[in-house]
Amino acid sequence: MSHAALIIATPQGLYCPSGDFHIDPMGRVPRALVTHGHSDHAARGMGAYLCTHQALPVIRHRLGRINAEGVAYGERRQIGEVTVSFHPAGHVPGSAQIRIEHRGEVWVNSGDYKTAPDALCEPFEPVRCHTFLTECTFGLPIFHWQPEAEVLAQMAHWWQANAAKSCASVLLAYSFGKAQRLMAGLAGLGAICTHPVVEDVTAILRAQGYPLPPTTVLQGAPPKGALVIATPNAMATDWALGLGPHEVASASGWMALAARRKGTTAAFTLSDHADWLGLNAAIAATGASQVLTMHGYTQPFSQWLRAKGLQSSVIA
Amino acid sequence: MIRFATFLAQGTPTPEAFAAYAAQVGTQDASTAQALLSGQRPKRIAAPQTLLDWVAEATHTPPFLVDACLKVAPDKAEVAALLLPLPTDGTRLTLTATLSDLTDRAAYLQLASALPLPARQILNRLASGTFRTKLTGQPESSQSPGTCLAILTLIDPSGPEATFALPHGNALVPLTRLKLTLPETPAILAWAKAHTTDRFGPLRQVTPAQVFELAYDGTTPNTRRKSGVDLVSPRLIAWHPSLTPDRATPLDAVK
Repeated sequence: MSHAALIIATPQGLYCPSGDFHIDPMGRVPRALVTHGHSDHAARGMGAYLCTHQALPVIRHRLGRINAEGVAYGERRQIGEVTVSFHPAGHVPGSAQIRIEHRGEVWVNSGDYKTAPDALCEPFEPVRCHTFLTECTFGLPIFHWQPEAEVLAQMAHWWQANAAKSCASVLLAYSFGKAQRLMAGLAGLGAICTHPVVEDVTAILRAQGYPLPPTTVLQGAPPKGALVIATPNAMATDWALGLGPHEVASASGWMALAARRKGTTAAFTLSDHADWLGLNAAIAATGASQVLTMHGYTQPFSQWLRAKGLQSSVIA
Repeated sequence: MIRFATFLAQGTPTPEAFAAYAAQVGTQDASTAQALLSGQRPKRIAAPQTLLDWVAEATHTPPFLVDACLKVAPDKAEVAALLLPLPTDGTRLTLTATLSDLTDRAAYLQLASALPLPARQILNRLASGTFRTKLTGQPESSQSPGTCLAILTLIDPSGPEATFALPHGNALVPLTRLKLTLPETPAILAWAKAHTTDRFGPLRQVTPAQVFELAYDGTTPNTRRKSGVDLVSPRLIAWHPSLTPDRATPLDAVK
């Protein structure tokens, strides 16, 4: 017997008809289940928000006054005719996959996820399901991530070499998630300073109890040989003029591509998303017979899954 | 092989950087590298498309996925390097041994699979005859070192880097872009902040009023440059706040 779809695409975003709620909607809806606090998943204007306890503080910081509630990982909630629960996605602190069960049929929306563990966020947990909605930001076989420890060692080496010539090291990273993953991974090697935008999020996560090293918000020149963690945007502002002698490097999965490294003096390939093998392993671990693709190389990735014998199509 | 890739990753290879590399690797690899960097290319074993075909077949990557990858990274040698999984432990082969082993499909796949990405990309350029890196200061360039007085015209705070220009007739022509390494850098940036006349993304155009002394090891003609010339190993020597822009060196005097 085939079940009706538990998640469908609508103009506002993904929608669960049996539960009457949206997941990570971008258009205004009455009820939103949100996987994590990045702005392409958590948007303003929803009537009510539901996310993990761990994701809530950053979402409140970014969205202002909202009607929001937190749930524990694994806690089951009845919404309409379905039972929902949130499970660690390993992408950023508090990030979740959302499991939806309706009369024995189980669908899971992955949100954004990373299968390899890091020093900061709740590690990815595979969830068995019949249908898996997977992101595929890096869903092509040219994306293979080095182990995090190797990339962190390269960063530490770069930082030390800069410090030896009395240069500050400026690492460019997204302000929520990657920035804190870097400081957690490089803790104990020297002074770490932050751009104010990075510091705001860091302070929130530190107050939540995430293991983050002490950081100093930077206004003016950094101490000699310090590591400065900033957003790429910050480098085009007057703030950057106060940095004094420094070297800049970017940290992103996109740095795997020569075209994206162009114009950077140093680049580290470090992603908060699963790589090609990670995506394929995560899909296999769900046991799902149907996989719907979203965010990224949705067409070729879906074609690849069909070639492997799965039912697959693009959902968003 | 990995050391050669690390040396090339430092940017345009200078004679000083080459000397440091040569001291690390010993005479055999140093002379092999010297030959490569002076334009002697090893025999090409396959075109980039062929390398890509070999890798796609070895990794069981279907053609539609290879096509999707080429849309993201149009360079076939790059996609060939990225498609192979990363090695679990590194090779210790020297540059010389790698080149002498590099003969056919089987040898290429074995060598490439054992190398980390940057070195694998160099291997692909060597295998496909597309290695073009040369030591600066070698191809038809003037070997006469010199200095000039140039005018600061643009600042990129994210280097921080600055573009310097020389007068040519009534115009200022960009000469070179250099990292600001002088001890007065904070003062230069503060001055630039107060004298920004326009912005292009992160770039700030500043009033052409500050004179800097640059040194270089030679010049190379380059028709793609507005100035018609590349400086060999250019470096920033001093800021001369007391000099006015009319003291700058005319472009013709550098060429």
